[in-house]
Amino acid sequence: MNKSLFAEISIFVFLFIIGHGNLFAGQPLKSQLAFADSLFKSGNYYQAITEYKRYLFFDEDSSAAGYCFSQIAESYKAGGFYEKAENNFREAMKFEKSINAQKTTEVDLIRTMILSRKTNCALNELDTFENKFGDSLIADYWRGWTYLLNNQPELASFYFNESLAGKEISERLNKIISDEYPLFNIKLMSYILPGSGQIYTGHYFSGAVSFAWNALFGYMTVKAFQDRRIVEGLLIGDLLWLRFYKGNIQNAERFAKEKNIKLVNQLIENLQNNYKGKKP
Amino acid sequence: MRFYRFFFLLLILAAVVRGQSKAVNPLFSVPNRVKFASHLYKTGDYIRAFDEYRALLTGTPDDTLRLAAGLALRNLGRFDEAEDYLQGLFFFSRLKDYAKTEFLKTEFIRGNYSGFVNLSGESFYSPDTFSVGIKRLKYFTYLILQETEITDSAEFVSGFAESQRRVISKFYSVKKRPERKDELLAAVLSAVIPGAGKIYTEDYSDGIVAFIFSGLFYGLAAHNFAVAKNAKGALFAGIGLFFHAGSVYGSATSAQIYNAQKRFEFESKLIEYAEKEKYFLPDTEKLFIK
Repeated sequence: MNKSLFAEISIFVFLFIIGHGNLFAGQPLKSQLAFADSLFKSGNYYQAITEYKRYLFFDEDSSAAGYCFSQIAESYKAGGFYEKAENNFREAMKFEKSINAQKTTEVDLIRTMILSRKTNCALNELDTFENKFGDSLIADYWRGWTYLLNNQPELASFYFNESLAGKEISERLNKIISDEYPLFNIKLMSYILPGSGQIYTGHYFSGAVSFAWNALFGYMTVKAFQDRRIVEGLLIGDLLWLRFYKGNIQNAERFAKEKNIKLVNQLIENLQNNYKGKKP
Repeated sequence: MRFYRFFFLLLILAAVVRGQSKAVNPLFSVPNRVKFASHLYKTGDYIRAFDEYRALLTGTPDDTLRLAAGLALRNLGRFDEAEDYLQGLFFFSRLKDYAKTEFLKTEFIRGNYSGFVNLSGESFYSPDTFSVGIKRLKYFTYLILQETEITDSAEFVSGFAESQRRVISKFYSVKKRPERKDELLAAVLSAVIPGAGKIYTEDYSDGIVAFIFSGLFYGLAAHNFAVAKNAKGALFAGIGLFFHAGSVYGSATSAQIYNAQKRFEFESKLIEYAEKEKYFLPDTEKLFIK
């Protein structure tokens, strides 16, 4: 066989192979992943999920399964579908091989839980994370965020302070804690002088009305007992006076809690817009 | 000569390579998209499955894909659109019997029970192939429909498969003798003894409270009338009467709530059973889920 004939045959064989599309077998999957990534980057999360799923379906080796599940989870998270995001992060963890990747995915899962206000789940997951990877600094940082979003500023401040990255937030939280209304004192005030707790929290009208009702029904109760109208005294005392007395304490506590929550929410909003560090 | 042949082959090679680079990703070929859509459907991602089926239908009109798109929409609760897709298969399609049956099933699933019963009575909507299943679902719907009277229990139950008859006869008994409380009786009982109507409707705590309050104020009224304090007696009697009247009205309402709750529980059990039995109809999904 001469050389040129050999060359011709080789080219025919080559053409036959690529004609059947087997030569670049890995290429479609690669371009599919790039396509999904481009959709994700452009913020088209719905379509991105479809394309990552398509990749996963055709990727028999599951070579990028961890990455794809993570991206699907991030897309769901961006759309506010936290439950689905969690499920996909969990799937991603099954495929992650390196410790670092596992750690990152676990943190992403926890961040989603924090965002969806699953406080207990997030805290349990953080315990698991700390036991598994031994990284208490990261665990404490996210514990801080968990408590912050659950309106527990004292605990949030404590854990932010324990972690290196959260010192700044801890300081800001301490300032808020000092500005907060003291719940115990406000309740005590309302026990002693009905309506005073509401007035202290700035609800003057509610406080004055509460004081007036308590004074009126208190007087009526005492008067009834003085006049030996025991049943009447018991009825007014139980059905009216105690109801308003209890209501005054509950209201004062509710107003104080609302004000405190507002302070924490203002901080969260501020962090959401201006904080440069990692957020849930 | 050999040089030209070699050059010609090189040109073809270049064309093929360029063609490949511009070709559509094989992941988007029709068979692959069908497989992927089926996978999405199977995993419960109906919205994306529907998107795939719709995209496929624009280039490849196919009855199975149309049927699948309709069922995906139904699973999403988009019943009107699902029925549009299914209706498109009613004529000249090899799947017309499946489409009609699924259309009827959609009527049932969306809760249009009387509509389902009416349509299933028409021969157009009840193809012979699935007539047994449709008849069973129709009978089953009689259990749900409040206004329907079922007379002959033996005939009713015998319409179902042997394995279903025991459960169906239980449902039949509940339909015939539903657990309900008479609203008028509840009101009368409370009128005689405050709170008794509530006890009758199994709202025990409310019944006891109504009895205590009415009794207490009536007692106070009686005591005041006895010591000639008529104004106070009238005041307490008024309050007692107020609680008593509330108890009468509340008992009638409580009976209504009781009946509605029992009805809801019964309906939920029926629907759960229908789902479990796949609505007594053949599994159409096997046509497109491999």
